[in-house]
Amino acid sequence: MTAPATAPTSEPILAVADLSVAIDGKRLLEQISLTLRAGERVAVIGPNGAGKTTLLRVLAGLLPGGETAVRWNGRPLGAWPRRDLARLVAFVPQLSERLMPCPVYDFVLLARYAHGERWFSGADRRDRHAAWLALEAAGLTALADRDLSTLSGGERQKVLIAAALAQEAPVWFLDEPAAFLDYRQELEVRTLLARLHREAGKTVVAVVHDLNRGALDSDRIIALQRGRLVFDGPPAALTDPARLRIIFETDFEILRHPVDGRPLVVTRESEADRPRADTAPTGPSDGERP
Amino acid sequence: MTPRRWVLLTAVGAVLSLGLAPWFGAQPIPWEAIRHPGGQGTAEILLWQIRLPRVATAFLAGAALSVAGAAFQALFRNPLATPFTLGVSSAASLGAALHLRLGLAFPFFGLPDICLTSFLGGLAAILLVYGLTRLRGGFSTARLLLAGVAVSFVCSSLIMVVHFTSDAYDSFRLVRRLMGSLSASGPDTMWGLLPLAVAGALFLAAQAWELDLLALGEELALSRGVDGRRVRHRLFFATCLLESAVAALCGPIGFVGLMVPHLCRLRVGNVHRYLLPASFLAGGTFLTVCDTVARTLLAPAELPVGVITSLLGGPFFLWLLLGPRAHDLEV
Repeated sequence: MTAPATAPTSEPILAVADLSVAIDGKRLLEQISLTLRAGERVAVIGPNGAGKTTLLRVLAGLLPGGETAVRWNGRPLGAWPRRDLARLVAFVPQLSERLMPCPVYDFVLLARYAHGERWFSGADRRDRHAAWLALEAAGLTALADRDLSTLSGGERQKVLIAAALAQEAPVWFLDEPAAFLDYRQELEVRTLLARLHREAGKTVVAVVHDLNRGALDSDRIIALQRGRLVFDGPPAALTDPARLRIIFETDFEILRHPVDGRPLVVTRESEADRPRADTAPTGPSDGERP
Repeated sequence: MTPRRWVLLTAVGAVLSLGLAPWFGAQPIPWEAIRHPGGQGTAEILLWQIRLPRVATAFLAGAALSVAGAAFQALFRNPLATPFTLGVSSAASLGAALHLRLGLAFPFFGLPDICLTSFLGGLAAILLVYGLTRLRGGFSTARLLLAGVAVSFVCSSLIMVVHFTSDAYDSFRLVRRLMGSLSASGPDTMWGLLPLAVAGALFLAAQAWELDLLALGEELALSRGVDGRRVRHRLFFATCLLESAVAALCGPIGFVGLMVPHLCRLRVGNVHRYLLPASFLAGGTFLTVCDTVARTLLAPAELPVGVITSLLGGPFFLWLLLGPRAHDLEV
């Protein structure tokens, strides 16, 4: 394993020591140790069912199991009051989560909950200001009065991001922010996230499914397989077919982007499944048929 | 219409129903009776000692049931998950029945002590139902509703047992209490219900922001800083307070907490600082109207108001299950 790419001088904001989680007797995470420093941009990758989303949820305190093994700013997760934790970590759920009908502005305003104990739900002027700024930053002011249920997938994803902005937490956890989005929407969301990371200095940890879309351009990649951490290092160390094969149990080829030269990975079918290039699709196959 | 306007509209409805309902009834009352609150004439007594307390009781009961239903629907994200369907009303009635049967009497801050036994019954029921749902890890609305049905049945059977072991006089008192009728309500009922209904509703209103977030999804609510456990317990407490006060003083009146808040939600939206007051006012109006119908339809005989609400509620329940928005139920 390789050291994280960022400067190791700063104190870690998150330290995970030997985290194992089992729910209903099913072991979901096993002996995970890692640290996270302010300003890092981390992608969590791995095959389906590897525990990526579970890891994010446990670290954010949304699932039980990390009360003692997970420490935020040196304090065990179990000792954090929810509101305090929400001012530190914002969680952006997967887009597939069903959301109740609710106007966009109200939804973003609700994310201000952690900023003060307000009985009878009086959002104050600061809250409204923060919600509006968040909508502006995400380029959503035109949609403020629309209902969530009437938005496209990309717009809804941006609303979720705007809400996390209004929450004003320095650390962001995102669960597949690009899933279910078409190319343009995905690029917009990815650009927005990169800008927030760069300009607002957010620490961003995202579960990413597609290595080419949001993983290889991060500072650091964490790979999980069957609940275990199998890789933690810079993307450059991951663009190696042998390594990828261990994680995904699939053959990969590494390409270079023709314009900017960044690495791209594509899967390769195994020899047995591949149609032979010298055979015409309609022609008789040589000797494969009985 | 904006949510604010809807709240205003429900307030107008509330004022109208409260102002008009006392004048309907088997016995006509001359308008002059309004001018002598302490008068000893038949009309004055009928208006001030009987009709007005009854109408006010109906309003408070409907408001309490409705606002409690709105809270549970948000907490469990399902319009079918109301205190009535989850067995809180039955258990609260059982508590009240035991109170009557055992002849319990103890001081309770000047409030009707039957409400406390009823409250304990309701609270036990919701903790049991929720515990059963969570028993095997995770949360499923189907399991919640089925646990509610089971607890409800068991409590109804136990009420039968209490009936069976009572003599004719006690049994009659029980029936009067637990039929879901407001015919036995007088000024005492009103004054007993008023503080509990107002306190419970205010307590719920104080959790409006949490309810907004919970209605959006538990995970999202947690990640925004809502202490799920604590808020859930607060909501259980406030809802049981409302539900048991009504169950003990008026009997179990079904479906108000299911219909009214759901319809309000469709119009007012999911923002609870509007939805809760709208549900409170509309629920009060609804039960006042139902009770007026119950009093006048077969006058001078009276129907229990619970019969009217259930007659409306049954088809409404089916509409929820089979109607155009059935896919929202996510059972």
